[in-house]
Amino acid sequence: VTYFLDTLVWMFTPQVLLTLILGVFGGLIVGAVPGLTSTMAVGLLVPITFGMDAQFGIAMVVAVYVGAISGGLVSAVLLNIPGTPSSVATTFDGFPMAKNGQAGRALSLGIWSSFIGGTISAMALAVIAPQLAKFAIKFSPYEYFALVIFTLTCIGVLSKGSTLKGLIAGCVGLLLSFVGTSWTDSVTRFTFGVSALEAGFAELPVLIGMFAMTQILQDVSQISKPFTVLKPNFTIREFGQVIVESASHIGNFARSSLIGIVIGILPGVGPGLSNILAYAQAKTASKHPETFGKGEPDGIIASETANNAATGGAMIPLLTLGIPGDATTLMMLGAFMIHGIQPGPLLFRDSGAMVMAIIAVFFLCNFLMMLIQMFCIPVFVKCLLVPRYLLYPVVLVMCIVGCYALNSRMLDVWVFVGFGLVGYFLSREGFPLLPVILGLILGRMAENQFRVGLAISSGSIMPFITRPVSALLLLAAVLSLILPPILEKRHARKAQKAI
Amino acid sequence: LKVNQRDFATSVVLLIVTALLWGESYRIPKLVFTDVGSAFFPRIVIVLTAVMSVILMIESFRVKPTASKECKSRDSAHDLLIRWSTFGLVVAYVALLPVLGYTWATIGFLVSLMLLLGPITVKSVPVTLAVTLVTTFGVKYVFGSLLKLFLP
Repeated sequence: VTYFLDTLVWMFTPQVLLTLILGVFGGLIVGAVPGLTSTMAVGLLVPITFGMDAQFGIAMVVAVYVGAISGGLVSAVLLNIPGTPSSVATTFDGFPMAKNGQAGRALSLGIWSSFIGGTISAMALAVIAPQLAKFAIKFSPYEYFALVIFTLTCIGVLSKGSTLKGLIAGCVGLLLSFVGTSWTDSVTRFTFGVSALEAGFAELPVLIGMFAMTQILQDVSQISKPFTVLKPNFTIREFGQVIVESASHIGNFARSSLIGIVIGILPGVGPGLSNILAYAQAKTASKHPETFGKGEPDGIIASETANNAATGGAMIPLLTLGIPGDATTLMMLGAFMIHGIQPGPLLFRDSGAMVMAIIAVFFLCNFLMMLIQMFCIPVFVKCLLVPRYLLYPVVLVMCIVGCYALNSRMLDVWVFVGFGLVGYFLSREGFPLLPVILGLILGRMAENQFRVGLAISSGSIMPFITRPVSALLLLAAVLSLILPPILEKRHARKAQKAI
Repeated sequence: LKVNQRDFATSVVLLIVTALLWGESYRIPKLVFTDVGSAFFPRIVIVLTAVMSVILMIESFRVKPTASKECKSRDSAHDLLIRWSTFGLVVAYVALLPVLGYTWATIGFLVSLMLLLGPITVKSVPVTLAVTLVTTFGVKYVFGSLLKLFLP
């Protein structure tokens, strides 16, 4: 109760409230502009939070995250281009509805659904996270090692494209994590005689390079094409009507929220998949599936509810286990790290006020997101018209200055540039980038827990496979590798028989 | 025999890298008080990567019709020029930052990249200059004065 009251007082101080409003507003703008993603937004912000108080900085990151995921709605409806991957399914019905002269209704449905999805996921975060943390506090090195292996396998398998390439990408990340001084016995390795590498690769420049620089290199040749934006025709009155109307879509809200939360908790996927899955389920459950793709309200509700619900879901493993659910929460992990905070079960025990603040800020930001979208739609439409040839150079300067500011050394800037190039080539050859980054960040933890576990058991690997939770996680990792190809083959055989 | 050349080349690069790392792992000293040395876990991952690279190499010989079409799709000369000029400008900017200092290097970088990516018209040049100046001094103020962080 003391934490709760302290958090309320802190959260409603003018400085914090204004920062959260600015964070959500900035996130909404980044989310609305095609080509600028939530991952990029949080990545740009993380170095800036370095100079702030930890709680304040992390609150700002949460605000930008909530805003950026929701902002994709505007361009999905008015341009037929999803501002972020989390709004892909919104274009299926949002744009047809806007073309029929109902852009205001489509935006209202999207804003309200985003708020409902975000609020339900915030409730899930508040309820599930403390329980999971209580359970995880009993984890020994065996469970932690198994958890990292399960996460990396899951991400390799669930990432876009070939499973083999996903797994290789995870291993490449692990190999990168070995460069520098070993955590366990301080032995220097894989530096090839370069003393600057003795501290290893700093995670944030690699992260920002692989996500921001890579994306700019991919998009840069197509940015001169101008956009055609439909008129928003958004009114508060219509928004009110949508709220009243939404009572008849409760089933869709509940189902899509659940899908979003579960997908968010799973490592490697997140808002990007949740909106498509929820859309498909809404279509299957609908009494009139033929209207989907032609401006069906349930399509917009499913997509926007699920992508915002995934944000809270993705924060559950991040806060309780220190395992990020997707690329954006990976950036958030970076924000924790630069403030010297290790997310995990101990965070709940030792920094209860911080956890309470994050959850409360998450609730408030969802509400602010709805309010800001209600009153600032014309501003976001204007932002869609800002040419990307002006935006991308600015983003690059902010990335470079941000990377330098972390440790005040040019090496980090070169790491940013180098990994941007590596990321571009890996991505071009069909390798997902998320496993590489996660391998780099979790690799040190995996090796440390593995070696500590072996030291406790005097070199025996048996506890890894005999302790129930560890065994279950390793079994799940193996199954996640074996099952998808078997199911795929069976599916293909069935399809062939049907022909 | 059809080969997915890109996957084949990638697997060869990966095998060379793993061979180099394997060799380097023998230079890691083993301390007497630890059960397994600092080379043990990396070697497991190196072997795993090498095995998967061999699988990728084998798979590259089983080209699917769609994959071969994908391999044929190439960037246009214009796309390549824009992409690598952008990268070249970023490298030049980072290299010149310690020489010219933040302000001049950033102004030069922003103006040249915006002119490279956007149209060059009577209307766009003043806009480019305005955005350049606002960004350069805005970032300097936020990082240097507000957040008290060092600039390059």
